[in-house]
Amino acid sequence: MTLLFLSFKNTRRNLSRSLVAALGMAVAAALMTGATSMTTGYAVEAYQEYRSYMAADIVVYAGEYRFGPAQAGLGQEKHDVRWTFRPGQELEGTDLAYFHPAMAAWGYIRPAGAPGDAGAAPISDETLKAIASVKGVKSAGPVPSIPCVLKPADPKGPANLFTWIRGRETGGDTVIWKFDKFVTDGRYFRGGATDEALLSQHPQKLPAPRIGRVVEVLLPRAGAPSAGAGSGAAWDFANLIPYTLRVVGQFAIPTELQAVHIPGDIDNPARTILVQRYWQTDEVAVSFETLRAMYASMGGSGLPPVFQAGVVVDSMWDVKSVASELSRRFPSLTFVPVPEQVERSKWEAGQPSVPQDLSRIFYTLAYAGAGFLVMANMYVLLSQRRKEMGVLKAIGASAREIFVMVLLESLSISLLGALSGFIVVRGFFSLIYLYTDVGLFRASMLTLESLGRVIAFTVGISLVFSLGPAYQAARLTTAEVLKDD
Amino acid sequence: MTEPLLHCHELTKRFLAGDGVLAVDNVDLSIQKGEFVAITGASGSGKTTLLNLLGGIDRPTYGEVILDNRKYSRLSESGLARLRRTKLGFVFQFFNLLNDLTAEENVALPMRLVGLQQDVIDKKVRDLLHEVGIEARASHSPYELSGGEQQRVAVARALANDPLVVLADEPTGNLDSKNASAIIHLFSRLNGEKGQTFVVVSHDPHVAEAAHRVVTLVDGRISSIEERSQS
Repeated sequence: MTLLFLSFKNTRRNLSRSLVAALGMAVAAALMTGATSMTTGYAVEAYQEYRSYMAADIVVYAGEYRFGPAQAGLGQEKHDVRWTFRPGQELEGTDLAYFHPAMAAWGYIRPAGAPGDAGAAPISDETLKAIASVKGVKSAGPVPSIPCVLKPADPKGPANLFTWIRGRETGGDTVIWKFDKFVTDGRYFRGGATDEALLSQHPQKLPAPRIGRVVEVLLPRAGAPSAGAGSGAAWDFANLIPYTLRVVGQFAIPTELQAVHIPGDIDNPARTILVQRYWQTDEVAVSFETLRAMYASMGGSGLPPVFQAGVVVDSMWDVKSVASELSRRFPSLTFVPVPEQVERSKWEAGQPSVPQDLSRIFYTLAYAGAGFLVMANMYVLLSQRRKEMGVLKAIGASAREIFVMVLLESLSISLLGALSGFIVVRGFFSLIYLYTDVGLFRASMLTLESLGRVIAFTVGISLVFSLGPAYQAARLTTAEVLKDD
Repeated sequence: MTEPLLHCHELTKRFLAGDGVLAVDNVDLSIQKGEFVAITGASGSGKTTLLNLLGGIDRPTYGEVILDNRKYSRLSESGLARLRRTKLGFVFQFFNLLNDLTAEENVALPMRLVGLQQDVIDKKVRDLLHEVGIEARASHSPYELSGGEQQRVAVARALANDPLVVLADEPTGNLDSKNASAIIHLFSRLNGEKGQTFVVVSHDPHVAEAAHRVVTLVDGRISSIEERSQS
């Protein structure tokens, strides 16, 4: 405590020089906070959209998929779990596509051998009820799905599209995940109707069926043996059954507001407008009633086997621990927290992480500069305080205590600066959020770990760069100092 | 004859710089508990070096210092620091107070290093500042105090952890005669009333007059030890 007390006193000794060092550290911390918020932070925010899409915090897959130790953490090295992505078009020019190309592609990721593949027993209603009763789980719902072939509305358009029909209760989704943004046009299903569908927007693949139009889907037969990889074990595509659906709405997941420059002409000045971009998927969403009717027409009864379910947790902060607990209790199922799934999608896509690497270089350089400032400051302060060190030693401070005192002093200056930088950047993001629709603040709020990183980096850099001055101070002897006096 | 409190045997210090100066040469000296010893000598005679060796601030080239039956040579750097913290008090010619701390914070510093409770420290600081007659200036910074006041604070700091011996290096060397006399009087009073042991290096004849023994150094050797009777 004495050393800490002295450290704080000493920090005030030459306030202007201390502030310069602290400012250097503040800039470095600000760069790091900004960089992590805009790269990692954005990536973390992206899972909000993904979560909206899944209507769940934890995706449950039928069957057991083991992940090795390398998969325990996020953003780690390559893993040996096979995750499948269906081919699809990339969204050009969106942040989501840039940071998560796999997510911007058609469909969603899932482990190989997941829904519909041989060997996985469907998830029963009883199991879902048992999952829902686990502490921390708010609700657990099935995501039944049927593969199908979607016939083009325009005969001159592209060929038939293989896709999935997912049974959804979008009314509930509206409450949970604000699906009012999710559904961009049209309305939700009417109760009792068995021919209504929401179609995802896929303008580049098929002419977008207008609301009110009828589209035809071709369904496989239920209960047939495996028809090969990707088609699942329970579907027979040899004899397709036609089923007609009325388009009652279209959906797309909003991803970002993109600035689009509109060149001016003689009458109008050039301007920039913000255009809402969407994550375009190729899927058909129907109500449970409709899915049940479709499944019946395929020769099945009730809902189709559920190979995927979604769990909503009480608090998103607990999502990983809840998933871990569920994995322990239901070893025959696989529980993947959505943030983790997003991370995995990033790996799978082989994303080079260029922006993260660049930002890392920038803030590392900034931190190195700040470290040198702190070191220079400490050397100058020490040259002014040789006598004080000698006196402290004379009255009983050991070399180790002097060493620690100098490190603490450097640390207090550095942390003061770093926390200031952190707060300034967070404040800046808040202002941006208040006056624009760019959600950096939300992204940054989701990355409290960035505060941990800033503190860890600051402490590390500060300690490394203060070792020299601290060692020099510790080596001073009282006799030597007083002789110079 | 009782065991001396502070004792040095064949104490020698040679500085390696230049031709190798023999600052202290084969000094034997014993100091009893409650003694007031003055060390005098011409400039460069080795007084301060001897005091530094006795205080464990410097290591001898040869010989041994023993305080309260502890041999310095057997102590590590941290052991010596602990010894200085708990058994010794230092008073310097230029006071050497920490300018960022107030008078009371300076006095409290050695006690903080020992790790005493804050309430104990507070009480002791008050007592010590009262003892040296400067309690009214407790919250002042050193630069707000006169030289004499600063030296009183330094004396209070030296006494903070109830040291066995207070070592003072030219404590009056930077004071006017009035303040110098007051400091000598303070030393004498503390020695007389509380039995505090003092070893004081000084040119000041008044210090010698106040001491029980006067050790005179010439070229690093003890040339004479004069016993003085105290009135």
